[in-house]
Amino acid sequence: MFDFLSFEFMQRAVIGGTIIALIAPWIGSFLVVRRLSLLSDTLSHVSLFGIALGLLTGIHPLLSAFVCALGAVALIEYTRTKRSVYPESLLALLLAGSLSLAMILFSLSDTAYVSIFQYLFGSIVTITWSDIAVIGTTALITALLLTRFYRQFFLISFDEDIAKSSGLNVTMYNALLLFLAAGVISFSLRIVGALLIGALAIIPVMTAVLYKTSFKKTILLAIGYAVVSVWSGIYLSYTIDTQSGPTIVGISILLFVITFLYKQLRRTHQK
Amino acid sequence: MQITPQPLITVRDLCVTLNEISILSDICFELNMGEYVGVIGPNGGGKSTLIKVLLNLLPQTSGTFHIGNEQIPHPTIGYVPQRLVQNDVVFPAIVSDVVASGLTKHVRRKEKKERILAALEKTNCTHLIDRHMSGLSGGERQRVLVSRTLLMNPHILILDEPTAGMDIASEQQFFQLLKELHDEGMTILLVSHDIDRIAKEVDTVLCINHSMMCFSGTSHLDMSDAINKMYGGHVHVLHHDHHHH
Repeated sequence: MFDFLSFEFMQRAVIGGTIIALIAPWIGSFLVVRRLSLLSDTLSHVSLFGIALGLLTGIHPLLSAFVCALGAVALIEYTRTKRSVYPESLLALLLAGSLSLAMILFSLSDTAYVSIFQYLFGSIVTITWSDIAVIGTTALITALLLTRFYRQFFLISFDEDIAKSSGLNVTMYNALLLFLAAGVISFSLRIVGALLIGALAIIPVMTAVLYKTSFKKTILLAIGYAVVSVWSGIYLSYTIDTQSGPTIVGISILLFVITFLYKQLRRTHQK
Repeated sequence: MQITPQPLITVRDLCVTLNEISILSDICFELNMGEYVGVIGPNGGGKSTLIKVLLNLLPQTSGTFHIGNEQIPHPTIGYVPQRLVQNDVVFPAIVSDVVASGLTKHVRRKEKKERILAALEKTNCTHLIDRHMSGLSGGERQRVLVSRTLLMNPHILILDEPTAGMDIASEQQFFQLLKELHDEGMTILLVSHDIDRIAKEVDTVLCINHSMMCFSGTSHLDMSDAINKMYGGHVHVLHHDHHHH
């Protein structure tokens, strides 16, 4: 069953995928409870625009993706505090706008056009060791900061007014959280793709929330679901010869549906 | 010689204007240590705005307020909101998560558990420790939020309509909890629309109506008069012996 692991590219796929499965739902947990589920999708599309810009101008695509994601985060946070537009409508605008611009830029560059599918759907089996080093370092820094400031991130997610009245610098912790989300999403893009990183940060968390358990257990369950989705997705895509990214997302949605139905059935039986 | 206690909260000529509408104008009051003050008034009168300004959640347009005195220059404030900003029906947290968020610095796991249990015991919520927040009744949830503030060892407890939507038994239980905390020396500022209840519980009442402060004091006769003017009806504030010391 595990003979596919004898290929080095598969080993890299499993390692890279596992790192993303550990960190994406972790940061995603804070986004989901803050009603910012769409943010991860928006950031991934803005990063896609950044990559297209990078490929066209010769700047390192990951760097331009990260800078564009940070710009989007600053804009989102600014309008959220100013309350000048509905936050989710701005997310929708950025999502559609950056995807359109990315497509225009990709089509302007003949060489870049080839890469579009790789960045849209990711290419987990073409991960290099340097990709793993980049996402590994990002994940490590993110994990350390999420652990160090767990109480603060929990409190700003639970109730911003209570957090402010407790003397927390809510603006700073908000900015830090979004900065980390921008890093994880833009650096994971080449591996899982723009359409799928958002799914991996959000769907396992949605599944874990159904358990109605503590916040820490919800994060652990979400990570568990993401790891299972990635491992079984890679294995299945290898055996039935499908795209790995969409297979991973398909499995995570399937796990959500099964868990949802199971919880509903249990509730009906308890009544 | 007796030393006159310095007020813990001093508010002078506080004005808040939002979109050219006056929400609060020329509010002045003092809150002494160990005092139990109720802010009453009709909905939209500016009560909650006053609390939000004191908590630095909203800026004032003019006037000043100062929290702290020589004895306690930077008092810790515990805040219990009317309802949570988040829709807590789906928020994935159990009671101990929420209570633990009141800790202001990192402590060992064993000490954390002990402090959470002690805070929950104080509010009669020990049995709820592992319960999901979405499964709590309104009264239970407010008592859990008070437990959270107790972990901060607050000098002042500020509550915004904490009993709104509660049944009578839960409300009774909640005010009993506040009375106990007050008896132990806690300074409490409470906003409520429930005049009769407030008159029964607190030491001092502040009435805010149409952005102005129309009454401040302890005399029930004056309070009845102010309230009658405020609501334009005939409200009788019953005199209750609330001096329980």
